[in-house]
Amino acid sequence: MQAVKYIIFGLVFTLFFGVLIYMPLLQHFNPTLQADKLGGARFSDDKPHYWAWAWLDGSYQKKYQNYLKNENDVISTFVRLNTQLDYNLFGEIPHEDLLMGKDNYLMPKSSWIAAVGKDFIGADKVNEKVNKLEIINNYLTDRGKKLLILTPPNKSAAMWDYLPKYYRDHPKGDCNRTFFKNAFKEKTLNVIDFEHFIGANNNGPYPLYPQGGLHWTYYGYTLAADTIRNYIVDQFGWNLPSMDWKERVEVKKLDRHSDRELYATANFFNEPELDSLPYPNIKYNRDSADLIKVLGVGDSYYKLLYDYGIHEGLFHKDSPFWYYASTLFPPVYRKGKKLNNSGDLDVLEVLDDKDLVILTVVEGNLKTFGWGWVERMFLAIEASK
Amino acid sequence: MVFSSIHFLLYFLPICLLIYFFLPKDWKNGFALLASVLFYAWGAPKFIVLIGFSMVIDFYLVQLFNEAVGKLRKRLFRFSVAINVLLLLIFKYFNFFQANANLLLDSFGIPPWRLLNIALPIGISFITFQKISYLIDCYDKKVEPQRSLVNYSLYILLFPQLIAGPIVRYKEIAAQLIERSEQDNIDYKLSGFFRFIIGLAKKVLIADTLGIVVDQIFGIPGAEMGMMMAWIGIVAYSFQIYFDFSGYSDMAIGIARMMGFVFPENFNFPYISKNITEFWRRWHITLSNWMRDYLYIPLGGNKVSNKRLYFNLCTVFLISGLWHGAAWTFIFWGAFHGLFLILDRLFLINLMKPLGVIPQTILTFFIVLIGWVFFRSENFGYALSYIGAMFSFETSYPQVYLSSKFWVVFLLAILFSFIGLIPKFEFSVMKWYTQTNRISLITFKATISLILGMLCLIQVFSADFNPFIYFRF
Repeated sequence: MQAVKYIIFGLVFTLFFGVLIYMPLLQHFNPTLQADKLGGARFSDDKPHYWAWAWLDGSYQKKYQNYLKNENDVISTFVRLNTQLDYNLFGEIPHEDLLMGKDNYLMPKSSWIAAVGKDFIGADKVNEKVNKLEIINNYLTDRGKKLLILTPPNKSAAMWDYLPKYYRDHPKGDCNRTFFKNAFKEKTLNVIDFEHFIGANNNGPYPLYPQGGLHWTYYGYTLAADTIRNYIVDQFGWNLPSMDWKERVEVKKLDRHSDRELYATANFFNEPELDSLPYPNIKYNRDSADLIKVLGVGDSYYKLLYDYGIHEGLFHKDSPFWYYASTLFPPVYRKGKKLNNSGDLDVLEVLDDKDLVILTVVEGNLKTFGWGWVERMFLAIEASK
Repeated sequence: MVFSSIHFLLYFLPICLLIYFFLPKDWKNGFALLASVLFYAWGAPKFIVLIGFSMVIDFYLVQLFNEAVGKLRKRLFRFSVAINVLLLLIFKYFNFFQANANLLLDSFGIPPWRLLNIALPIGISFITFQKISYLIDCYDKKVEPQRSLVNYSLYILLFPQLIAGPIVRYKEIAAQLIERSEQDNIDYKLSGFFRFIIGLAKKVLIADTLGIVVDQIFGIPGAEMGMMMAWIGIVAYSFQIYFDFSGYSDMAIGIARMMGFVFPENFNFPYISKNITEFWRRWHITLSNWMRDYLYIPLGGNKVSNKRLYFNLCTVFLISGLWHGAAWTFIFWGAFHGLFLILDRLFLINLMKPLGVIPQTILTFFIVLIGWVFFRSENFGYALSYIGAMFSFETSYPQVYLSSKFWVVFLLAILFSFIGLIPKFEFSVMKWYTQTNRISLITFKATISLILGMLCLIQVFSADFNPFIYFRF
């Protein structure tokens, strides 16, 4: 009897406390138990170097614990199991910024926050921004150039019915999108807010948003690009290259990182099976088209348009993109020096040979509209007078 | 180091226990003390010197007053108690007193002192009470003073109870510090392990899950709080603090058992109490016992006039509130419980008795809930607006999302909190905890423990650093 008790105690002691020793061995011999490194920036500390004061105030210990969470493969297995358990047992995931919606659609919580107006910056701030935009627009128009503003809705706003019930039924307050929209209208600025586009295509043959992505599907981007192209052709009179893709849509397993970027940060052990997605093969007919020079300024919504080659396909090859109005794509070389930041450039000089500025701010980013570009432009215009 | 951290669970504890199990008997105390110092130094290294220094002073002062007689003995004893109380006052209450003094000075138009912001050494309230327990037990000659500085230090610093109790009175453990071969066996190790896992599950799976929602609800401004949110928030908090604190006590008791120590029980289904007097016999039992033995009885206890008795009760509970934290909310919480203890003695118990067990339990739980509002609120004003919201009868869209997981855990918390109402269940639980006489039962408990343990590890690894609520007391 005593011997059996010792064996049981030895077993439970080893199985519980020794998990960091035997689990890597099990994972080594059985690869199905292995888990990928964690996605997202959950535990962000690098390995701390010993420093007496850091030890004394407790920060060393805390950093070391976070570092361990990042580095240990066993820990990544447990974190993924935690997500899996919550998903399988409760249909939810333990993530601060992600909601598990209908049909395994992951919804960023921050985009819901914008949609219900919890990040509303107030009418005064909106009007101040838009007044400056009007001055920028007039400045460009006087020089034969155009300003086009794109304000795509968030995934949550566009797929409201897919949100969990609590979030779906939550009362909406004043939100940035409505106030910006009205202010743009009042100043007769050139804006595509994609509301009609979303409404017309949300029930189309293919989804505009992937289950696991934050941005449009490649198919959605193709439709959005078509909308932008048609707007420029109709409103500004430039004959942009035509896009030929309708007969060449291939439906296949997820092909691009952006199709499952949210799942990558949700850290599942076994991700749910995600639907196949359409990938149009776009051909641009640039012969006899107007290849206008464009400056793109925007967030990740426009960045993907740039990364997917759509920006390059529709516009002149000398059409840069300023990511969050800061990082230069492509980098600029001056006197053999590589410049990566728009702060190193003269904001007006850049526009000398450009025909069009496209400013893209997705709904969730309206609270920080323009990321300083509007203010820089405004100050530069004032200074040039 | 907190019990629910990776460092403790998978590095410190197993290594420490393994070495401890295989050490010769004479080395065990020395090693346990070394491990306890490391344990404390991991979390609060700069205070270990202070704690160590004050322990050495206590140890030698006790030797001195034990050999002294008459007034000198009394003076030395008072001096030793005063040192400990002074340390507690400086490190725990100085900031509070200074802030309040500044408010007073400000009202007279006098410029305030510059705030010193003295840091709070972890577990100082528990450590101080244990030290005072040693001084009083030795002064009253209930026990012989400890002859070994290592053993005395081990009593104060023994890591399972070091930072959040249970508060072990010296007389309860004096003998075990010298001889515990009787408990140093496989039955204690097994039952200790099971108890430890149950405590970990209470803390990690229940308290922490509820805590996420509680923090969100108590983050809502008082004026915006809806009635439903306010009730869910405070009921969830009552379970959070119970499962957090009792979970910690279970872990402490469990680890101690694995090391051959027997710690006193700290909780016994407090929410099934039929009145506040009974609540304090079931909630934080070791604190209640400490207060009774070292404060209430020396003040005269029950053997005084009614007026003096009520004064004693008020004093004990005001000090109890202040012990929990240096804020007016804690003091009020203590006074609130003191008031109901007096009312119990005056008429409340007799008045409620005819109602039957369930209504009495519900009413007592309701009183406890109101008390918890003050305990949890950042300040007095917030507590009042929170209570206002609880009775506002205003419906609004819930400000906080309550997940399915929250509701499942919430229902489990209700079940485990009130299951003691089933006749005889209350007493059989403790028996079940320690029973190791049948292999089938041990195997069953081992399996459940492993499943719970793995679920806890999954949760611990996934959560950020998550300190125990009682850490700050």
